Amino acid sequence: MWSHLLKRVLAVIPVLLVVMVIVFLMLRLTPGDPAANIAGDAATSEDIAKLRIELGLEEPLPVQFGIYVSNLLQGDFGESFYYKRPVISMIADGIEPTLSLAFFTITLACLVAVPLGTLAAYRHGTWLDRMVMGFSVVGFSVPVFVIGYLLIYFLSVKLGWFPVQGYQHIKEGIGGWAYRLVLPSVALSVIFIALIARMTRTSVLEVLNEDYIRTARAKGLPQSKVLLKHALRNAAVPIVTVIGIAIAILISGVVVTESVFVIPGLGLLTLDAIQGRDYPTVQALILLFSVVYVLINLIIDIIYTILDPRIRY
Amino acid sequence: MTTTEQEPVLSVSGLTIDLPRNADRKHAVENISFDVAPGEVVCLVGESGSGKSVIAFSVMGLLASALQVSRGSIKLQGTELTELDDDAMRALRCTRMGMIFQEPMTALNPVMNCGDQIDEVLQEHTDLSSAQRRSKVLAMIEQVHLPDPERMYSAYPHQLSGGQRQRIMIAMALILEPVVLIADEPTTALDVTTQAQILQLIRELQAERQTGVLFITHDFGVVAELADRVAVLKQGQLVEFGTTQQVLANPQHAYTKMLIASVPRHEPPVRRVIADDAPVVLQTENLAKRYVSYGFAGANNVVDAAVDVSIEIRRGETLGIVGESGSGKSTVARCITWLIESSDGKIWLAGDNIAELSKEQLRSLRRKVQIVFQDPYRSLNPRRTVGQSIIEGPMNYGISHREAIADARELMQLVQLDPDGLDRYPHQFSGGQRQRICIARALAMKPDLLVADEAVSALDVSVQAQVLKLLEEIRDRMQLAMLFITHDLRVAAQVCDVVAVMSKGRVVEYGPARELFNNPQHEYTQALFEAAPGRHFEFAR
Amino acid sequence: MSATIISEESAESVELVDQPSIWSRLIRHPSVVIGGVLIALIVSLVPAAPLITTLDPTDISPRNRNKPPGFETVHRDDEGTKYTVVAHMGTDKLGRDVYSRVIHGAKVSLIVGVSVALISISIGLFTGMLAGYFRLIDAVVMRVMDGLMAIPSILLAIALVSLSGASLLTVIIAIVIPEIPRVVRLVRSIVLTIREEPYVEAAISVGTPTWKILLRHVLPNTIAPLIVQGTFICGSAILLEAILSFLGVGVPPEIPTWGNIMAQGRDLFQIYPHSIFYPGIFLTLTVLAINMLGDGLRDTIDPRMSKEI
Repeated sequence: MWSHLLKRVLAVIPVLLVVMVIVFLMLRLTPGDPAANIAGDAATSEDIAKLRIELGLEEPLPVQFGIYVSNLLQGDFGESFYYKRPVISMIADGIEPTLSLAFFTITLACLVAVPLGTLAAYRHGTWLDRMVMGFSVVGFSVPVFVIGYLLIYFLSVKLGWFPVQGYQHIKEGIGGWAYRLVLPSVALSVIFIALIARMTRTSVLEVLNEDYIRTARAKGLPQSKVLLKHALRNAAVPIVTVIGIAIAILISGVVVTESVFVIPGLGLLTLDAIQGRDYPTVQALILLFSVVYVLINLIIDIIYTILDPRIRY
Repeated sequence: MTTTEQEPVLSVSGLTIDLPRNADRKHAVENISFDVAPGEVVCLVGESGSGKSVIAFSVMGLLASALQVSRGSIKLQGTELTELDDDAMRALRCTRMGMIFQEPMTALNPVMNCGDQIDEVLQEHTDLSSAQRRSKVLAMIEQVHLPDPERMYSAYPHQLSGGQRQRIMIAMALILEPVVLIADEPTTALDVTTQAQILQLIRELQAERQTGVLFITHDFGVVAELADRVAVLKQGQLVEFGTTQQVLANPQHAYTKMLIASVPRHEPPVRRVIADDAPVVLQTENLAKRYVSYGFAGANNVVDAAVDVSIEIRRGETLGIVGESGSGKSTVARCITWLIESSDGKIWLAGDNIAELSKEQLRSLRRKVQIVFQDPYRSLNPRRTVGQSIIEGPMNYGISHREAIADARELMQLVQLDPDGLDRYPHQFSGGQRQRICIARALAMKPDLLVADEAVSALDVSVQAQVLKLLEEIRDRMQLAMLFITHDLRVAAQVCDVVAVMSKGRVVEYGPARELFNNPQHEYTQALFEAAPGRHFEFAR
Repeated sequence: MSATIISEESAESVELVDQPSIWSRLIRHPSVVIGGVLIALIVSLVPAAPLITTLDPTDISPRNRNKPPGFETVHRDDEGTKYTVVAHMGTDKLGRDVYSRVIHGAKVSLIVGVSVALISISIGLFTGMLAGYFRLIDAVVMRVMDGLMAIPSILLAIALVSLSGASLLTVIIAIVIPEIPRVVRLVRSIVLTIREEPYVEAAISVGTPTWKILLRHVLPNTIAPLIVQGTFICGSAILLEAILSFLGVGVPPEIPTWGNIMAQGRDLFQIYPHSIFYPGIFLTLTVLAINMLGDGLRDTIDPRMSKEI
């Protein structure tokens, strides 16, 4: 088992390396002079030349990459062009709102979707099943910003139940923090509820056809036990996988949701950085999000080994 | 064991089960009546599609919802089961009737340890304390002769062998001493030696507890070994029911007679002698295949799938490789057909050492060795017509389309199929017909050596007999050398001139079929023959 | 030899009943029908746009700014004559007619959806087949794909667009790149299963060269799943394009796209929600129609895939 885990951890390294290469090359290989792009339309040719040196673009590519990686390894993510602050401190400021939003969303999605999907599988072919499936197609299709604005317009603007936009830090009071996160996380969780409910349904349905479910029934177990103890437990691996996929999509959703609800998190920071052509910040953020994705998948791999004894060798 | 005086524990009468409307026949089974006395084993025997499993599941109340019992009665110790509601049926399962299934690999929950799975039965149906339950489970594990009960209790199914898993299933089904045990082909997926042990175990426990057993099987050997009475089913109809002696020794119904006549005998027939000067088509010398999976710090996992295999096949001769699963017999077949590369040893084909040949020469030699696989449902591309599949090979070697089609029509006749079937798709043929098509495809290459890798194992016994006969005819007609891979000793006895017995990757005994079968030397061969079910019975000798 | 054709008398059940053809199954599936009809309506908006709208979607009109739906806007034609047009969906903050913009906006969405689906499927199919069949290529390609998968698609797209300048082409490329790994993985997994099939081994042993095996035996198995996957990619590409425009990093803002219309309505959303809701409805309906079609296709032509998400 330990060697299996070690293998998993080591497998992360090449992926991270590839991510670094892609993020690094993105700046260098896109058509046109990145320095000119970054400097903007008003820049003179001297400005651009200066920027090229500043960005290290005059060095050969492998050298540039070496510098980039060695800086990263020393924890140096560069300095923001725009704010003239170390990128790392800007990221530190944005982590709390983003994590809060992500946590609320995923928890909400799992709490709603797993029971819904299990029920749909159990009542396969009934109106309840069709409702869940119907909801899941719609949930896939409505963009998060449309849901966001709908919620704001009706629940905040018209009914005044919730604050329109904005965020309150957790240290200013847990109540207000949670209250302001309700609408954004509901808006963002719709697509995940759709995704996870559907996957839960399919995998529970599949497991219900397995021989060991028949064995469980031949033992005289009641349906509820067959469903919870045998079916759901075996369906857990694909469900956890899809939760992993969901987290990848979540990162994208966070950017949009933060923009709609004006939450000063990493998503909003990314957008500001891109609009301000603040390249070091963009690079660092993309890298950070990718590392988070890779690590979450690693954690999911480890959860597999707990859920499924066949993987423990 | 006389049955007439005792009240039957299970009695089925006039049972009719309907199939869904779009099925190929109206009833899954129709008007079935039989009974099982305490301590008696009744075998339901039939080919695939005969409805034998449906009967088993209807007794347990586990029928798929598409199937409905429309008439008849099922009585368990006088209780009418067809009238009980779900909860009442549930209470009877495992307490008064237990069931074991065909696939021990998939019948156990993979994420729960074996002990807990047995324990669940006690939790559901008894009020015992957890300590009492545990000791009862451990005692039961011991009764099914599993070693080290404590370790077995905490083991997960994937850590056990097929036979061990089936023992766990038996423990689960019998722990509450039900009056009826229903066994649905419980040994079909097991090797012959394991099968013998499991049959012995069922016999032992059932005699001890006077359990009535309803045993579903397709194998007359198993019937002869185990049954007190036999019911023969054909497409949902019960055609014959009587004591084992009556049915096997003196079958009345034509279908039963045909089935019994199709069972290959264990005794090899006298075969025509292959001339010593017949050319050697294939020879291997110390052939070996080793799989290495790399681990950390040199902790490589080495599996020797085949070691030191030296065999020889002459023109017009059939060499059988016999062995249980994991013996390496299929590995040898795949090395010889170059589907995998051997890791050591030499292969000569018609005198050429293939290791010394160029790629081009190898390609032209490839057609000389053809293979027929086990699974008739997956060996033909479902999207291509039978004709396209058969002419694919010849056209690869430059035969024109017209010529290839003309050849294919002839081959279809040779394998006794309608040549117009060339334009049809595989799904329009039955399993046996598909296997004939696969043979035609192999023959289209005009091979010198035909490898049949478990080619009749997936077929029903009557179809199997026809395909075996066909293979033999073709071998004689075309003077082929044939390598016949099988786990089935009876089949090997009937078609092979020479037999190699493989175990754990090695050939342990090698010699002419008649000698080897009549006087096995190696203890493994002896054990294998000993385990073959139903040898004592006349029909199989 | 007598050429008598034996009929194999056994209990083997033969499925001689032909299944109803794919087409008849398709037109009977409710989601295929509903999705298909909706898509046809939306596609017909593209050629019909000049006929059913009277105003140029890019015409700025300061006097008609921020009007609610149903307002009669006043315009002058080339000769200076006044005429009025009812703004069915109101106007935006530059006085452009939202209805005209929404109807004309269908074009960009559909172009993006279809071209992203076609390009990513083609590239992914080619790469996935090679990766599935050749070990060496597999090792390299899959590492790169893992890396690409790790970067959140929206960020990758945003970064690519903002670096190479906003245009329809860069938007399409930026959406294609993150889609490719998903297609590659799907194709590769199909190839890996199919190459283990005995009928592929049979083809190998009758001497069929590798490229023919790929084309003849492997490729046909990828078509149904790819049609389904392509439909879903089309839907998600339309969504992603709208998100990019909405965030202000998509196609240039003067081009009418649903995302751009919404982006322009953001500031005054609380008072004038119409320029967010109308394009939002169209966007949602389009994506919904495509996803319904995809679901229906999966049920009918590729039941095996319904196991996956």
